[in-house]
Amino acid sequence: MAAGPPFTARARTDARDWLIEAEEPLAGLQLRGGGELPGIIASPALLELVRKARTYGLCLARAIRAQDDHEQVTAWVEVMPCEHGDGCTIGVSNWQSTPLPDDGGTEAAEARIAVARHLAELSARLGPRQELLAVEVRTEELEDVAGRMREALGSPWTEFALLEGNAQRQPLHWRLLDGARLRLPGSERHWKAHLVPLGGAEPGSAGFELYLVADEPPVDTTPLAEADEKGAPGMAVGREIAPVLRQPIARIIANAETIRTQLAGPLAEEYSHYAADIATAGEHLLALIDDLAALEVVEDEQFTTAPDRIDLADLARRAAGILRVRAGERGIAIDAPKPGESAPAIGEFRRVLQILLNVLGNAIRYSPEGSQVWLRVERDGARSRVIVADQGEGMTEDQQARAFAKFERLGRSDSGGSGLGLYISRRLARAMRGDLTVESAPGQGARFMLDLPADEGA
Amino acid sequence: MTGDAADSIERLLRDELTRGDAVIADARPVLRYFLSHEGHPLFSEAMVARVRGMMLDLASQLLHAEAEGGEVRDRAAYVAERQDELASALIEDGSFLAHAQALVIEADLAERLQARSGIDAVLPLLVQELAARDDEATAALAMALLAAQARFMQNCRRMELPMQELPGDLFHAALMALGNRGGAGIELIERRLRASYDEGASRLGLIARAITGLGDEAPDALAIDRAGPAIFASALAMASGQERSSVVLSFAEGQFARLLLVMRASGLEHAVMERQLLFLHPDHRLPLAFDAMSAERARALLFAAEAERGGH
Repeated sequence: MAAGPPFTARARTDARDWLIEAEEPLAGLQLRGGGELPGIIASPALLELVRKARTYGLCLARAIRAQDDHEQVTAWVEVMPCEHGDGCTIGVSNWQSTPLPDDGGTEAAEARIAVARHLAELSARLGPRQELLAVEVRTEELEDVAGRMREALGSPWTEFALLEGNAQRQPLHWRLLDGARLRLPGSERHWKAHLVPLGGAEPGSAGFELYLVADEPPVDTTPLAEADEKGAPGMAVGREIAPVLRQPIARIIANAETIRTQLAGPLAEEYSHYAADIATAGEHLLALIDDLAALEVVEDEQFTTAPDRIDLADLARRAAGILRVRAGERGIAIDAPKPGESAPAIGEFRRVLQILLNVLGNAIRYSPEGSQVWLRVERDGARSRVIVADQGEGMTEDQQARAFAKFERLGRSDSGGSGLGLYISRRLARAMRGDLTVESAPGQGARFMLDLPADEGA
Repeated sequence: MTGDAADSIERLLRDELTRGDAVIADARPVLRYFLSHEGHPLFSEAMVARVRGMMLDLASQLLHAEAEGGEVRDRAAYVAERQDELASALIEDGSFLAHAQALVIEADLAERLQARSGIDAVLPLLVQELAARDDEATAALAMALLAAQARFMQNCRRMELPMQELPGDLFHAALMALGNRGGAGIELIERRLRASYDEGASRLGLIARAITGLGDEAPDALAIDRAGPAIFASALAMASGQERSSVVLSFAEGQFARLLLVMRASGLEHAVMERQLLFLHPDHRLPLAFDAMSAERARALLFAAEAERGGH
């Protein structure tokens, strides 16, 4: 035919419309779509096309759409029936996959709001300038602050809270305050603000609902029976699921590596690439299981850390040592603290190492090739600090605000991570009475800072 | 005259009378419809004439192929004798009618847009750009598309419907209609015709292939002033999941609601839809309330309407 396209993939079917052979990406679609290879064609659109081509004995060519659980594919497919009607050959070109539209987006947001409404111990109705109109509390602990709020209706609500990492008393844009962490006078607990904008056309034009939700349960209401109950059900990823999953996945990775390195015999290059993909995906899965297990641990109310006497400089050097090979693969140089330097701190050795590996790993993954990553330590009075600085693209203020949120990937769609790493790291840092923060600007790289109580005795 | 013979004549007359009644009963609503929709483009005499012309042309091609395979000496006479009968059989199959009707509407619209808005019916901007690409395969595809589109406009003016341009399902149905008449040696002829068919080389095939290859420029295909009505219709059909012929029907007068739904089901946003309406229906405005309708809802309404039609 005129100007036949270069096919990106070819495949063959038999008289039963089974896919007998298929190249990528068609093979992947078949498997992700729940089919087998060889096996009946899994994509309904493709099956219909092949069946018609075979029964009509016609060369058919159409654009087809197919989708699996995470992406939608459009492709140009030409199907040529073999003689005697015993199967077809398939040529695929113009393969385009787009991630499925995020239908869960609004639903998830609604669920978050519902949870906030349910858990809030202080709720308030705000006007369009975030001024207080009405205040309701459910805890004795907050009666005091609520009383003062009620006396000052019309003032911005932010005057009555201490926003973490922000001295400003003027209300910021509501999007920046939604999810902000804060302290309330009279309460020892950590609080989080949820702002629900009201008004159709322009969010917030009709005011806001404000919900303050605490990280910890109220101090005076913790009967033991309830605590016991919390430990038992739930997802139990770490205790029950992770050990079961780890072994088969490790075996998949090992087998894929064997194929990739051609230990099992010579192999076409493309198959060795597939094997590498399998190994990478497997490793990602393992890391995800680790993250979910870690998430479960740090979110457990009983979670505590051991107060080891540690040296942040030593830990930074260890983290650099562990990740140096991976950095080298991308031509990235790690500049770790010099052997003589030290920054004594109190924290749990393996948890601090976990945080550093996460932050440094991110720096290596998202920095340009051939760039440099610095690890620096500082001591500032009662705090010890380790800084991980990179030459990556940097982050906007909005991204910095979101970076530590759970499952936040800042719009990245690569298979790099679960979006849990920074969330877990910050939880760990705070559990050790420290904090993990970031300073960055677009184009300026990012500086992640882990602060821990200094080891005064050292 | 024996009683038997009288009986049989009476029976014959009675049957004939019943048949005549049925024709009259059928004709009246049709006639009323034509009279009350006079001037409506979907029922215009031009539409009827062109659809009939296309069906006769298709029948003639099929019969020529049959005559050729059967080594008939006077092919013209062979075709002329059987053409009407085969064309009637094709008309009986609603899908041929729908296809031909859509082609006529599309060609009409293309001519109108060219005259009114300067949108090139054969070589719209998008095809110009594709033809100017460095990538040889794409440029060649654009040139093939240009040729096919020029042929299509010409075919419509001449009331022709080349069988190689039929979608695969209709090509198959056409061969079945030909074969059902039980001509001699039809199997061999059919096999030869099937082997010569290539859906990907047809105009609609080329358009669909070009659209799947657009990549970043895919939104251009959903802009009628850039893509021209032919590509625009195919792109809407692909994006909305509707049959192309029903998308083309939505361009016709009195199908405004369908057009709005098809565009929204394709994911077009308010401003983009308004722009398309400037070209398709300069006298209509996009209702403001329509903004609240989601693409999913539009798709659901279209599918529900389709299911309803299918049920009758």
